Amino acid sequence: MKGSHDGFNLATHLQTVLKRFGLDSRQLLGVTTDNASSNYSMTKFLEMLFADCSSEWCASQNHMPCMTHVIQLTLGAFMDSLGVKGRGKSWEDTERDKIAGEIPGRRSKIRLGGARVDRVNSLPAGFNKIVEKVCDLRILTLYG
Amino acid sequence: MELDLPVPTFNQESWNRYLLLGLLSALVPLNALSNVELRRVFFSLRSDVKIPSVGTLTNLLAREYEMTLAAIKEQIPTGQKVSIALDGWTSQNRLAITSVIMYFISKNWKLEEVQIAFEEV
Repeated sequence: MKGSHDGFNLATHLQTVLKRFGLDSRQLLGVTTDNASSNYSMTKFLEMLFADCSSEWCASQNHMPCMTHVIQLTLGAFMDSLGVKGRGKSWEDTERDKIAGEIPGRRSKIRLGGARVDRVNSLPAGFNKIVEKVCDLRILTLYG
Repeated sequence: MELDLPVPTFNQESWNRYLLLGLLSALVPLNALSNVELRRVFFSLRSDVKIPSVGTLTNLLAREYEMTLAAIKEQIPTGQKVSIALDGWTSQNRLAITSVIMYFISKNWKLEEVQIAFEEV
């Protein structure tokens, strides 16, 4: 697929992928994506493309926004409003470095990255304290 | 390190396939086979081995793709509903990539998860 990554192009690409596996709209149940607006227009176009092939697939009923992505956004907004920041590298960066380390010839690059950061350390400073406080508040409201 | 894959007796045709799968899973480019030191390794293990050309391996890869595609199609029970999850992103070397994962319930009621696309868009 070449061209801009708009809903229409994404939908036609997805349709070719599904066709390759011999799948039609009658077999397609849910489509899970993150909340990018292009994904919403993508499923709308997919519905239209399927309608052109005279088969029904309803975008509003079958498009599932990713729950984990929603949780991540919520947590991000929560931590931003408290002004907390990650102590080390983000989890994604750590994973990316790990993958880069597995590819031969790229080892030198990752040494420049500095100290190794593991997943536990990359939790923001004071995060555990905030969690404890939130838990205490809940216990207070429940039993207090 | 123990190898927990079956090792059948030598056969040029299946050896070509294992060589291809080995190079791919170790992320080694196919033209590494023109390296004389690597060729010596293979010849020292078996003097009559025929090291396939890059062209042969490319054709083999296309065949392997078709076989995998057919195997995945076979796994989906006829008329079975499938769900998909997809996301797109730009890699560090500025390639726009879309990946699609398909989920379905197999014939013996197990949740299956198959990657059906990982493409530059």
